[in-house]
Amino acid sequence: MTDPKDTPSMDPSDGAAVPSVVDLDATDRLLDAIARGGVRATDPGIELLSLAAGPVDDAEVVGAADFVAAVAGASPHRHLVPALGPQRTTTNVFRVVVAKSALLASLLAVGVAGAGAVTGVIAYTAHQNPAPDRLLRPEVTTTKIGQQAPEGDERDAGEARSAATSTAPTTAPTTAHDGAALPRSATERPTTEPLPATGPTNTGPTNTEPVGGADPQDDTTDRDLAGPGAAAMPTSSRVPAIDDEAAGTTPAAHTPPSPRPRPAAPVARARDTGIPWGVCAAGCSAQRATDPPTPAAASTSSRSSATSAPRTDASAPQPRGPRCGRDCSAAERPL
Amino acid sequence: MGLHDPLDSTLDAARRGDERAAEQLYRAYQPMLLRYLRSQERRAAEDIAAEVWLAAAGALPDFDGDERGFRSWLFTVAKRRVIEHRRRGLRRRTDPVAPDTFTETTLDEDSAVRATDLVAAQRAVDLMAEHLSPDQAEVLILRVVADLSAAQVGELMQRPEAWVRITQHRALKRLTARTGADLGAVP
Repeated sequence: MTDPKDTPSMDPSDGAAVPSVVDLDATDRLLDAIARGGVRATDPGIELLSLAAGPVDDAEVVGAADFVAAVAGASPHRHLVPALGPQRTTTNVFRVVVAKSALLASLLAVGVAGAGAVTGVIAYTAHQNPAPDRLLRPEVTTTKIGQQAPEGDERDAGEARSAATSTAPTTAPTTAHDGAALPRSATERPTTEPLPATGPTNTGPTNTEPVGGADPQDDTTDRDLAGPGAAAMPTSSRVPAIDDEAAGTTPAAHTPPSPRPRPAAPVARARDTGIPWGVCAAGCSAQRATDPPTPAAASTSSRSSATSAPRTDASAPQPRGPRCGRDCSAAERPL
Repeated sequence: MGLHDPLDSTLDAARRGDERAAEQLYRAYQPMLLRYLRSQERRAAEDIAAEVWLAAAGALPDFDGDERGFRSWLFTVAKRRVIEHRRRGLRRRTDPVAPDTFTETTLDEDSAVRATDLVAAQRAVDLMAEHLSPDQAEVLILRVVADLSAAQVGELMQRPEAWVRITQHRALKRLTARTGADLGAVP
């Protein structure tokens, strides 16, 4: 029995009886046959249904191009999918990753090389062309005795030292940073100390020659001291600490020579060369012409250049130093 | 019109974006879609059909099913578009309409009628809609023109299958009884 809710509304012309299942199945099969075009019309109703399911007229299929374009727009590259299988897709992705990695590595290599080249050029330029302000820095007026400065710094220091000695003695800039005295090693001697107005400035070109009669046999020590910087270095600042220690002197002996003509200790240790240590060519004691050779320095000819000091051969005649430029009066010649 | 297995391969090709397959699908389904839509909304049948195909083009790549499933889905979309069109028509009742609009509408309707008169199949559909109730005409058109099963028609119309079977039985009896004299006018 058919469910009442499944029964369509009744029209008086449809009759009052509810169709049987056999009739419903027969109608269902008939309609399927009409839809497939396999029924010959036996009544007007079936003929009408057959006409409704008739063949397609050309006027009904206009506008196909619009739908085709819409489908193509909905999947613009879908026809390419079969050509790209999973394996080929993976291979392409791998190739893309490798290509990008190689590009990144090459860019990094170029960047590192460029940075290195720029750094090299800057360093070379700075080495060849020192900045002008470096010549005026107070640091270049100091030097560490016994240490081999770089070539450029040595030249700079020599130039600055020449400039300093050609003018009046400058004040102590190394102590002017914060008003307190900077710690200074025992081997460092400021050239801003009151220097006697003598030495390389007065001798002019003779500054390029080794001062103090360096031993040509002594290669390292003499070469170091015979360099441009050493030649331009005032003799007053070339007192090595090693000789002081060997001679038993104290660091106080390196203090600037006092204008007072009574250096008791140096004079007392003067060698028997006939020329007292600390006496200039004019005979006054304001200028040390040469450093007093020590027994250790005399016996050892291959000392380290970093700690060795200019020495003089005890057997060789002791040359006198340049004139101190002062008026060596009789009062200043106690010796 | 028999639409069966041959269109399955055509449907698969159209899903992949094959333009020729898409055109074959359009040529196979557009006539029956127009006949159905003209039985429901004669004046807006062409516009509704265009909306249906536009929706089909967007959903075709993701469609999963055979040819019968696609046909049922296509007419389901058409049914919903008809319902939306009728709702829009109800809302447009409150809009002021210029007098010239009625003249143009009349001319357009006449033109549409003249065009459909040239198609015997559409004329038969119009006769069915003229002599049957709306539900009976829709059931018979979907069963014969769209070649949908009773179950598919019931799903489309949101009715039980038994309701569709009884409706189609009564519709066929009424059509046979009333259209005997009119069939001679169908070319």
